[in-house]
Amino acid sequence: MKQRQPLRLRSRPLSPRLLAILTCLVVAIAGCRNGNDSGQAEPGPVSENEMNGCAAEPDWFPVTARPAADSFPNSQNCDFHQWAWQTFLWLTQPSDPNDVGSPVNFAIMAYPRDLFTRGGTGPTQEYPGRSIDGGEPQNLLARVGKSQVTVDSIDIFQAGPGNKILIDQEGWVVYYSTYLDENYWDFAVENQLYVLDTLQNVTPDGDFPNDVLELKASWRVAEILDEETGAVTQTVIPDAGVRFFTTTAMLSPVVVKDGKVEEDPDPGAQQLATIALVGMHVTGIVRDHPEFIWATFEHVDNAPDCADTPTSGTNPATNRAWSLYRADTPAGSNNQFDEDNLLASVSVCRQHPWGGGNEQNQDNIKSLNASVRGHLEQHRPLWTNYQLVGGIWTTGNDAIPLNNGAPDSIQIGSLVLANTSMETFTQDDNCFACHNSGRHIVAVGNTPQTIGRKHLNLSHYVVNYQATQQYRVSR
Amino acid sequence: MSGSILRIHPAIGLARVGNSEEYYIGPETAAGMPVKPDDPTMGGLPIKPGTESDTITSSDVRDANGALKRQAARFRIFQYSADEAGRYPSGGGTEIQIGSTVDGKEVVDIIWTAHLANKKANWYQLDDDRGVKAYDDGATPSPRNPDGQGSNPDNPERLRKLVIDPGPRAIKGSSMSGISFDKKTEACYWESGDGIQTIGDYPKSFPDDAFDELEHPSDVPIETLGELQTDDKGRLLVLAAFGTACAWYKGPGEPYPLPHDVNNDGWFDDVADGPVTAVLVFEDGSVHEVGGGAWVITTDPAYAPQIPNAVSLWDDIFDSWVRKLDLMPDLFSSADGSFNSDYRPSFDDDVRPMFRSAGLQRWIANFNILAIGAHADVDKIAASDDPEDTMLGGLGFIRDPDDEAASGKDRTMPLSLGDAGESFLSLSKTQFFFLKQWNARKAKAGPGPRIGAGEYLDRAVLANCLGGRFSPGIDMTFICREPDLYYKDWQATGPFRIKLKPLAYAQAKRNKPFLTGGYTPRRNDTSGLEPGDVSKFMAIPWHTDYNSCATHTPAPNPTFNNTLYWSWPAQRPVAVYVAGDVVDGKLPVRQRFSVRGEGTETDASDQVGRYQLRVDMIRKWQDIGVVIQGTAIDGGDFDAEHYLEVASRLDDSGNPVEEWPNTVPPGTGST
Repeated sequence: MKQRQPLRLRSRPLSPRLLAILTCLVVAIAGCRNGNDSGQAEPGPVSENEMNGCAAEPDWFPVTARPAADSFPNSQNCDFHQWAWQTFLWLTQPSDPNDVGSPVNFAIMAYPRDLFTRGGTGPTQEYPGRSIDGGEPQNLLARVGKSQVTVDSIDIFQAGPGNKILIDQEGWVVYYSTYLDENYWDFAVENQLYVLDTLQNVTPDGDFPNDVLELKASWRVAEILDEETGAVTQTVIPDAGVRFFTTTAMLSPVVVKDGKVEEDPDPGAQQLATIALVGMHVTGIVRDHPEFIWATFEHVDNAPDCADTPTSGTNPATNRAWSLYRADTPAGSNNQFDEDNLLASVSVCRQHPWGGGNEQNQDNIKSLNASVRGHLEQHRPLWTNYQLVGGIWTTGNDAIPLNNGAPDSIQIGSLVLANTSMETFTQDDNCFACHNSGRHIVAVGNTPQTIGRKHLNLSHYVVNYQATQQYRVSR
Repeated sequence: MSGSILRIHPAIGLARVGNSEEYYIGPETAAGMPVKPDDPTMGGLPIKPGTESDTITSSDVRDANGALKRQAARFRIFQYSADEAGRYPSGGGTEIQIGSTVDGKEVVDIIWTAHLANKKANWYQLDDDRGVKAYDDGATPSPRNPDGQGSNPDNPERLRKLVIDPGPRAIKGSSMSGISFDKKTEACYWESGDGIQTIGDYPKSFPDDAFDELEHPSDVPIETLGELQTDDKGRLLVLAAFGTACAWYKGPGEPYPLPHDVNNDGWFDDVADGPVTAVLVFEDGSVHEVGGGAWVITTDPAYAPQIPNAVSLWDDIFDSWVRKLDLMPDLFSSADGSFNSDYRPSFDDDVRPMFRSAGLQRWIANFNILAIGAHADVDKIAASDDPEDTMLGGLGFIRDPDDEAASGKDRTMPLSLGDAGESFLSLSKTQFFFLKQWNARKAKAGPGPRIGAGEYLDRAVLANCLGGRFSPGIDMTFICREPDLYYKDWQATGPFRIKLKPLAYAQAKRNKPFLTGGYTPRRNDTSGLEPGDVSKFMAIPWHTDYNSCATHTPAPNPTFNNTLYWSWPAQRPVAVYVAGDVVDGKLPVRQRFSVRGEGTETDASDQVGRYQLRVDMIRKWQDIGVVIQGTAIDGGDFDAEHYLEVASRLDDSGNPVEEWPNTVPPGTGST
């Protein structure tokens, strides 16, 4: 079964013929899912794990409500992981509960670039800043945002130092897309966060409000499509729709120029593709936690546990097809980027499968995954292929980490949390290493930009936008 | 004798090799730190000979023939009252020169005695992974030049063959002449009641005494370990030798090769170390022995004298004295075994040097723009800044030296390679404590307690040397952290002084080696050190270690890390901006490797910026350029904020510098 949900990032119009094809595809595919999303509340199976540990709430199924920050219980480790799963379930279900063909919730959220526009004058449209009615096909670009002085946070590069790009086992770039919700948008517009002077003088201890969400999704290329007909011209992941949430996007191939990876500047090089979701960061603010809860989800085929990778020879646990791991790659050769071979496939394994932290934290994640999976098998089987890796937050009450997450003592949850598709090369850290309130340095072009300390720096949309605006003004 | 207490400063002096007969005087200011108000030239620059403190310029690096000048260690004598001598810092001290008055008597001469030796070939190998721990529990690492008979370093045959020992030399301050540590000059020393005594029977030993045939890659034989001179004030200058190395033959026509970076059997080099003592001679013929003796170490050239190491030798030695030898009870209580949480370090003296070091690393390492910006931002931190508003607020970016797990973290600073057995470098515990106090808003603006001129020499000289990464380092190694190394009753001698084992020169016999195997760490042996007991722990020859210490993957390697990091770039520059590449004050886009040119090119990313054949470093070390501040570069209008390479005689071929991060292919890093 194939599922395609339009992300509609593309700015240039498609041919009427392709539009018609895409529309038909969406309708046809959505129809396939009707049988599972019945709209009737069911208790679902109860596993042993669920009885003994952190479990899904029955009222999450079959239709999940977005959790409300104000009523966040804020007491147990399980509460935070439940928030993550409930939010992910909501994000990935049709935006119109009465229309299973409607785009999923995360697909109709705003792109950061539509809020933080290049010229620094703010959004030109109401939230989400673009048409989401199906009239525009998506355009998932491989952007070298910061070095090209754009404000687009969609880029092809990994977290961490340098421009490390992730190439999957089929030799294709892993792409990323980012989103923010209406609460983020409204807060930014209300406070004119798109005005440089505002950002530079905002109260350092000012927080985002409750219910703000920001997301980052990672995608593999599943099929290359003919731009005119939509026909598959190259299959990268056979039957991708069976195991992955898929959608279509316009991709920009990458090229190596002067020893650096860049988006191919030739507009004609763009390709229409089916893309498959392999990871998602879900981060949001709940009551008493302005530091955001930072949770991340992965597709189960991404990578094996590093502990299972052989030192030599083969291991049944790793000797199969993975998205990001080359079968039987020895332990010491994984998760390493080769600066001298920029577009080589990277073999990836999971260094900290459940994000570390204490035993209860990891047990809760595993237990909750099992519980949710039990429900999903009945209602949304495709999504049983996705799992919560972990989540991290702080002691709360405005305990916002400074640079590199300091102090460690305020951090709670999955203390070594990474998504193999997004923090492949920095799996020993966690989200607060980079997302924190500390003073930041951001390279724009060949200029380092200094971003003063403030709680809003938790969002890199803010940090990167401020950096590019400072650069723009300086020129 | 009255209550005046005399000490030689610096307590440990550094002389550096060059291939020129000429020399300049080693820096007496701390690298990278302000020296005079409103003077943009930072500390660390060497001093022109014959001057008090005139610093060199780029024209002074080489002699008229293009040879690299040597660096002399200058020693002076300071007088303290008993009250001053009993505390640290004393804040006092007056220099005593010929013509000064001590206890009512005029000083008419100063007689200096020094003794340099090189014991490297007779000592044990460096254990890269264990450092000083290789000496725990009565153990030793494997011997260098094993002889099949236990390789006992006290074996007279080994001592005769493998130790370079020219014997002591004494010189009068009034002589203003020189005396060499060579074979033909007679050993001599000052003897109480007898003055300068020659030792005709001193059992001198040089490589060509034991080996008929020697291979000299640079065509310069080892004929001396250095020289003593004095200046017009009676101060002592110790000059290093000429930086050569030689191998003997393992068989006919087969000189020993250089298979290793730090432990090469069959080789000698000409660096050395040993004690420096002095006696004041008064107008009435009486004398006053200077109680606080010093030590001199000769080692490699300073190729970036103004760039401070993240952890200097001073940081390590000071830390050891604070935590293990009760130097400053108000800072660290030995009774409690902990730092005083109320102690208020000085921002200028205790905290800012770390920020300056961070800011200056870009001039000797291939930073990318992000790293340059971040380090510059740290360099700008002022005493008035709220720590929370700075890049280092919360100290999240600083590796905690008390956290063993932190030594493998690659998101914390310093991001250079670590000490033996540690992946990455950590600050000393005292440095880290100072930073914690600063972060807790407990640092005082301005300078710390007044420090005397002699005490400043102790500090500045060591602040210009490499600390932190002792595998083995290049100036001095892990023994600097051993309390048994020093005179512990420092109120009598002054702190930071290496304890001298009494040397009965009068008993020297022609056919019996005078020196022994000497000091072994971790033996509770407080009998002191002989000449050669400091440098014997270093690489042999030093050139091969210097050559290799560009970039490596970490060892031990944290999981999944194939990135290359710098070894000790402030002492061994990796990538530099060449002054000749600067146009209209604008830095070139691309740096060059400090070690470049013929013989350096490679396809292996972890071998760039060095000679592919180790022997080439023995031949060409003197051609490497020196990084100095723009204000000290002649022939152009250079920016005071720029530190640029001058006086390189290497051609520009070889690999281009790629900005960091650099990697090795997955799976090929060290394990």
